[in-house]
Amino acid sequence: MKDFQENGSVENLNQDVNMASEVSTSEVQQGTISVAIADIKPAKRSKLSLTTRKNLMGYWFVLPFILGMVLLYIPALIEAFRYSISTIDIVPGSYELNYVGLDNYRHVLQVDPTFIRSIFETTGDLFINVAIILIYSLIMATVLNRNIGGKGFYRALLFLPVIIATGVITEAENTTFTNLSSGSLDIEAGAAIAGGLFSEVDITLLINSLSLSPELTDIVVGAINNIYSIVTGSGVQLIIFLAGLQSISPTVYESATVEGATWWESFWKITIPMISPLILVNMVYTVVDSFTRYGNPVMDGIFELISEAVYTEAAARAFVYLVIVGIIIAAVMAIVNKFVFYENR
Amino acid sequence: MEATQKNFLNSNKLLKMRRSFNKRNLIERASNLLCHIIIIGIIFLILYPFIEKTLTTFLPYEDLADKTVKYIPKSFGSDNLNTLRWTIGIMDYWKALGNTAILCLVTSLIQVMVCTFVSYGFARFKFPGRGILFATVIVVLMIPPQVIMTSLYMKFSFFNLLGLPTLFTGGTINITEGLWPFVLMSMFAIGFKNSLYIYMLNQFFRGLPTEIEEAGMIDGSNHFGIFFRLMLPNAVPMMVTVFLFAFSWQWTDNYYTSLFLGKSETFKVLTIQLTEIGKYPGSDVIFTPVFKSALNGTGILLTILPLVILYLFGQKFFVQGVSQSGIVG
Repeated sequence: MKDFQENGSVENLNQDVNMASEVSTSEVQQGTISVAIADIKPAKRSKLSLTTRKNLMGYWFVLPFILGMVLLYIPALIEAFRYSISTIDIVPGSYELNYVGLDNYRHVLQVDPTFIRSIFETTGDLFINVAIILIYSLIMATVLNRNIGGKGFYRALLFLPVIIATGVITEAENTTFTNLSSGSLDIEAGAAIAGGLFSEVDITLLINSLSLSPELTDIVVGAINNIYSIVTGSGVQLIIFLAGLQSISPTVYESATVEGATWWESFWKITIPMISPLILVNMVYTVVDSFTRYGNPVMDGIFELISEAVYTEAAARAFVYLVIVGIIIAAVMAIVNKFVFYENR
Repeated sequence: MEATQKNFLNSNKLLKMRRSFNKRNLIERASNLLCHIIIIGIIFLILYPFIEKTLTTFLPYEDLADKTVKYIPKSFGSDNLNTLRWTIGIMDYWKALGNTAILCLVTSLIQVMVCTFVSYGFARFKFPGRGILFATVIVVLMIPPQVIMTSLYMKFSFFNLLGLPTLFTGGTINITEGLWPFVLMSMFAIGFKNSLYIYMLNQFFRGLPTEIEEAGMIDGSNHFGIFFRLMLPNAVPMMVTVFLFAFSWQWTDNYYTSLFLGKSETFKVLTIQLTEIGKYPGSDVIFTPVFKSALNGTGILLTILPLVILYLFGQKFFVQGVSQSGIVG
């Protein structure tokens, strides 16, 4: 998103600079005239130009954010880093930190048996999920973009999960399931109540009979079993793709059709390049979303540690996780940005 | 003359009829039908848990234990509301609902105001350091809240902002239980997903014409006047969108609620009370796994019901807000 943002802003910036220079000259003239006429006290006149003074006003507007950063967020971040290299003792009225170096990190990376595994699990799932979510939401957006009736109605319902299927709801759904499977209930009734639409065994058998490679089978079966989380996790992406599709001028398609292009050809030669910036946006959104989503094993692990008051190790885990997330997002943006087509470039 | 006209009309009609049986048209219709079927199927997938939970809620206790019963109760009577009554009792629903509503209203109103203010600053002023600050906004969006969770909790447990609490009480104060952490974080635009709201509103303000400001300047307004009198009225639809998102994400959020209100006895909120159902120490005879899962399902339904109602009325703002937020083009 950042790269995309930069590209966008660079173009805008150029325009803005041009405009700003035009505006500034006129404004400066106006300023001097009005000052000359209205202001009799020349001593009060600021040495800065009107544009500079205007721009400095911006600090007042972003002041809340700066204050939040300086007073709360950055101290909290630094504090979190200090936890991760210390042990913590709570004394009445305050707490004490004792520096222990990289012990917490060593513990997280070398001793703790679950953390590394959950990181790999999350990351592995992530790549598959991002691909599936993007393909699914692009297909659905293309379908919705056709002139079929009830578009608004469908769109509203497909967006519904963004509002309600988040946070605690997902977690509560999961607890329902674990309650059931640990209970004395037999699996069949459990699956029926927990809302399993498919019997996992049947699907696996069916796809196995196609004699694909086992990895591919796993991915397909996983996608089918996760269909609910995929559908509910792609509301925003779908709407963004849909808006992108609607912003492509129909004349482009018309001329392609006149030149003899089929629907399939125009999809690959027009639609995909035109919405490729949005593919990047959606990709980054999906990555960030699934890294911070509830029910993510790494997150749950950190949260568990916090609720057990093992703050130092939780902080160490969080920082390791942050670094990995950062690397992955940077890599995604660097790679995908190569394939993105910007119209105004 | 009339005859020819009639003939012409007839032929026109014929043509229309023939066209409707045209091969191409038929393919078009078939593919449209296929689209409808696919979409309806996926919408069914989305709605299925709700339908299923709603129906299970109204099953009386005996029917829940009875394996031959599914969705439609055998008997109707006051027993049908048993699950609902239990859930409301365990969750302390009405009190939690009120608290959640207050929490969400307060935080999302503050967040909308602050984020609009901040994003206007980013969108319309080219002060030195703007690029770095805006990059910070985006980076904050990408930092998982868990990273600073612990230290934030400690910060609010031993709260000492600018040394003011020490000045008045002679020590640090604990403000973790209650609205204060939420209010403070919203005021400083670092609350839950606030960076996303700043980004959305920033893109919106960048799309507004600069002539508005120039007109305001010429008429002698200062920048705050321009912002409040000229920009805010224009931004109302986008602000409603952000408000709705802030409200509903805060409603279902349980990072911050469980961090700050997780152990609170005085300020119960829905998301925390929902987890109480699983912990409820009922006897195993009544609280069979089936009954517990029915309670849990009803709890989920009751938690999101206000949001569903909100969505019914504000649907337009939610969906159009995302597509008009300027993320696209």
